[in-house]
Amino acid sequence: MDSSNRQSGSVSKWVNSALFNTESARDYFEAFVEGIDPMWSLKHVKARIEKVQKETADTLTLTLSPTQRFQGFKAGQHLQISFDINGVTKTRTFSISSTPSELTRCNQLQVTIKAIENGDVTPWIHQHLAVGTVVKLSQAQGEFLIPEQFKHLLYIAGGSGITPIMSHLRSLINNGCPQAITVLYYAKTSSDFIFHNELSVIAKRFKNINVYFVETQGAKHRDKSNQKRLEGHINEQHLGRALETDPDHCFICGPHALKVDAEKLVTEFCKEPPRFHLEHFGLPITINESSDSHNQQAFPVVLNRSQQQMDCDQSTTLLEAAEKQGLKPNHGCRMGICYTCKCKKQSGVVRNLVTGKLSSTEAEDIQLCVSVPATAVELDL
Amino acid sequence: MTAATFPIKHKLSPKQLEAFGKEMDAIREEVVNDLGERDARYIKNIIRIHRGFEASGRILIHFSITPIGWSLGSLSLGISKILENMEIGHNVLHGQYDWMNDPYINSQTYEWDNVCDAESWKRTHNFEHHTFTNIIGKDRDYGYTAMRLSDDEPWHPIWRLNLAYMAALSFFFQWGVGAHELEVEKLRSGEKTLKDKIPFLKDFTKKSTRQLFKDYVFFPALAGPFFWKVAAGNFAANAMRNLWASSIIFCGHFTEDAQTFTEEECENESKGHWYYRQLLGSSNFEGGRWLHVMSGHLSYQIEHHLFPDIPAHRYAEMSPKVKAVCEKYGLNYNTGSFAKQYGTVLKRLWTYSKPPKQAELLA
Repeated sequence: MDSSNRQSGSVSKWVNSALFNTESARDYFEAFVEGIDPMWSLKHVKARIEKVQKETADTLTLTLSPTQRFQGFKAGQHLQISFDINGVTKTRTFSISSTPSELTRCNQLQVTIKAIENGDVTPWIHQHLAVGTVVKLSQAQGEFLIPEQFKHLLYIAGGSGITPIMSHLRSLINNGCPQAITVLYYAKTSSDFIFHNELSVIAKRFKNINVYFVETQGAKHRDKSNQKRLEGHINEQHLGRALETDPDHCFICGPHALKVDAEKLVTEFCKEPPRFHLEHFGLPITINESSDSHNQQAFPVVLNRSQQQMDCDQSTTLLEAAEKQGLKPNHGCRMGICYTCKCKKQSGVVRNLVTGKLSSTEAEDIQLCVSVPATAVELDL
Repeated sequence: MTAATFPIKHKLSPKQLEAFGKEMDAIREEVVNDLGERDARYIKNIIRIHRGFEASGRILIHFSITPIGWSLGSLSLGISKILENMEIGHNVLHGQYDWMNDPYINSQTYEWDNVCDAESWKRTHNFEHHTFTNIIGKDRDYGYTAMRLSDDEPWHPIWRLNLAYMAALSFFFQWGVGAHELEVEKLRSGEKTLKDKIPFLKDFTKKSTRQLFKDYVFFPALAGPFFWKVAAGNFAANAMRNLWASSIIFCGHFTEDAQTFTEEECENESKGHWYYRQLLGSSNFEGGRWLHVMSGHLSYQIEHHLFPDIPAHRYAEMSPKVKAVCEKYGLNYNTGSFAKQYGTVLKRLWTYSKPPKQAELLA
């Protein structure tokens, strides 16, 4: 049965490639269908931007209504959104800040987006994205999920890292959760807290939910009489003040440094360390822990398909190096999530910046956007 | 070098070549910086128009009961094949639209409606022909090793049939292009063996089988008892595309004034000389907008060879700038009407079908 299925699959693939020169007829008709109505698609989830709402000086919330093809999401998950920016498709990953029940109720979801300085996409979203624009979505993914059973949840957020946590909190409140929830929210100054009003209201209304807004900069000029206020980067006192009981689950989402510090501090603070859930956003900056002097060594990279050769050091990803070389490899998220830039490494070893792991020496698919060479490398690019 | 029939190349000093190259770079830069939504919309529209022509062609052929319906269907399908090969396939495979980051409109993945395998095409066309344009002995597209176009190629009585070879190649153009990488002349001379060509032959067989299946098995079989009507319509469409594509392409490099180069001339070639060679080796033709679109903008063969990875519909706006630079440096900008250019191709083939001495006398 299984083998006959596979056989009929490969026959239909062959017929499609004969008739349409594509793997599936959908690829062939996609442009045509899209031309009739941009919300139509034979293969992608499309979504219309329904609302663009300012949150803080550099963040805004987009409300999107996806097409039927969208399979829903769980609180805390993220998805990729592809924007057409001056003819170029650019894909980025965003956490969903709204709740699954809102999607069921009114077919809408929200993402909250911070403008990254010198970014390719987020500043464009802030300046140009208009209501009515149609974008492409991936299905939701991610393991930053509310546990099935828990006693006390600790959330540690930095800056726009609050977005998946907001989805958690809203869902938990909807379901009338009675357990203890502590939120430590770090941002530069008081005006940088996203959802400040909503979080304050939640903290007031629900006895079991404590929210601490912590300013990492600029809090010093403020009225010091408010002793309850925490300030500065995460430290032991913050945990001591915020935690009455040990949490059994700890969710951390924010810049790399915060994740590293928070995980370490919470582990030391608790008698029995909680289960950690980390959202991997943003590339870790540190590359090679084994601080040898070869760190900046450049390796020769042979690009077989385009018959070129380049040098690539260990702080430049293969994608960046290829782009510097003038090539335009397919790519999407530039952070190792979407696999658009997947490329066959024919020989050599590369290091994955997300996992920090070295690849095998065999020929295998790698992600160009998060791979740096660890030896001389040959790519099918 | 080339026979006296054709104007002698206007030589530029190395300094002039460098300055000329910089001017070309500047023309290119200006368009690169301006690429955007307009170009994306253009190619997507062409793809939609192509789908329309292909669907209406196949439907018309299938349901036609009169020769008129059948002819219109074949014409529509022929137009679709021309659009797909010339304005979509050729240009996408050049990487003209890779910057869009659209996995379907990408040179790495695109496969076209032609028996020639896209990977093989990229090797023989994008790499060989576009790098070694009109260098005798290195550019195998120069005459496709089937026609004699200059006295650099020694004369032999077989060349008396020069024009017949051209007619045959025109009619079966996609097969000529598909089999190009087989390098028959090198197999014959023993430089390459059939064994070297096994990977190529595998890919070529795979691709051409799929194309034959589509046009001569699948769609004819859908028509049941009218199998032959559909097969004939598809054959007519393929023939129409073959004749059209070959005529356009012959006008690109085989016109009377198109220059050839020797390997020595091009050793350690500077970027400026590369531009210079692309310019003098190529020829344009003029016409209405439809002619440009249907030729995949190879009517701007000069601009295409100077800027092969710039979206082709931009060549029209680049052309006056290139022309102005040519005037400044006293270089020939080879252009004329389609009929005139095609006429000079025939003339050139006729001239070189005769032994060298006679060619000179005729001039």
